[in-house]
Amino acid sequence: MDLGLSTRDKQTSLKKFIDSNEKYKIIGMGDVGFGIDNEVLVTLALGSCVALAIYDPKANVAGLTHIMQPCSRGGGAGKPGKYADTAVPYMLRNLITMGASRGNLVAKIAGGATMFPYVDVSESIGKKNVDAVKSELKKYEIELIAEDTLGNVGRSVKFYVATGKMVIKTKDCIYEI
Amino acid sequence: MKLMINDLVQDGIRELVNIASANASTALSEMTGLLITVSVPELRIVNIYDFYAEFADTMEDIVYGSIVRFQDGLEGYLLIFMDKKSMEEVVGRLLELLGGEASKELALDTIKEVFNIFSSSYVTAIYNFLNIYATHTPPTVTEDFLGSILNTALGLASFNTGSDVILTVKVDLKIQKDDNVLGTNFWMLHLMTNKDIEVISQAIMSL
Repeated sequence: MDLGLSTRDKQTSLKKFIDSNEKYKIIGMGDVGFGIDNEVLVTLALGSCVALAIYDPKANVAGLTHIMQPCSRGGGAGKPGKYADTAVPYMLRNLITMGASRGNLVAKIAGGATMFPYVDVSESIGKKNVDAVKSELKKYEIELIAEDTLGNVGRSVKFYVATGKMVIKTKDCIYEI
Repeated sequence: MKLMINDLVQDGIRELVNIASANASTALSEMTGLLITVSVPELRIVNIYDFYAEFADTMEDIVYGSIVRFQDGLEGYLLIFMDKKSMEEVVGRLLELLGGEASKELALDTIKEVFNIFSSSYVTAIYNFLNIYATHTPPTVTEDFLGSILNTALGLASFNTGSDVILTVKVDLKIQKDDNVLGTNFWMLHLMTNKDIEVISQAIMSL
């Protein structure tokens, strides 16, 4: 019986979202990746996690991270991209080293979904992640120029360093911000 | 934070999950008339990043997923993943038995009920076997990327425990129809914390 419950009939695989002709780098959960020029930074299947891209459109350098939690609570051991409050300063330091100019840096974010409304803590961890990322961007005076956040769907993200385009894929559609 | 667990307790947890998952699959099997087989539970203490990375090739597979959070006596999570083909077979059987017409709304309710049957049978078996008191949230069901469902659960477990190391117990399930196995993505994952291990260890030792 075909329940026709999803508008997508086909399974989506890694290979279909990523074009093998592109120079892509995949960033895993809690990781931070950097790219230059025509490279494409990719992170897949965000749930409550947030993908944060910070880039200098004039220097053509960018970083992308897959943030899992809002705050390191003073700890911060482990992966630099795990927490919003460790990811942003880490990205900033590295981007400046790569030739970015502080004043040119801008950001785009995606993710922070509430996948499990009855199981999540009193406030969705997805929303906490989004709020924390925004707070850190404000603290470091990095302008957030686009976002696709919250809701209750998973997202995969591709970020094109050369153009600053962020492409988002959900189970139903693909679009840009 | 390290997870401390000796061989005896590991064996006990494996057996516990074995019994509980067999109960759950039997409950679903009896309701649907389908043959559902259960693998031997695979118990591992893992770093959540490494565990998540193992699903790189199937991360964007669209599956039905359900999660239950244990409360009071225990604190882990039970995740169940079911591919579309398996779910269509199960729901189809249930709707046939109920004599219902396959409207989208009824189908969605039936999907939730499938996960409810499975997870309730599983958790009840756990509590009964261990003779402990614990409660759990009702199952929340979603249809989305496998990776999105999994990383949210891993993130929640890590957030609530303050640790990136967790005990996972994975059981693969298969629905057989006419000597064929339907679907490739039907499995459950019990995420356990230090507290869970302690409670279960004490209960096992007192049996």
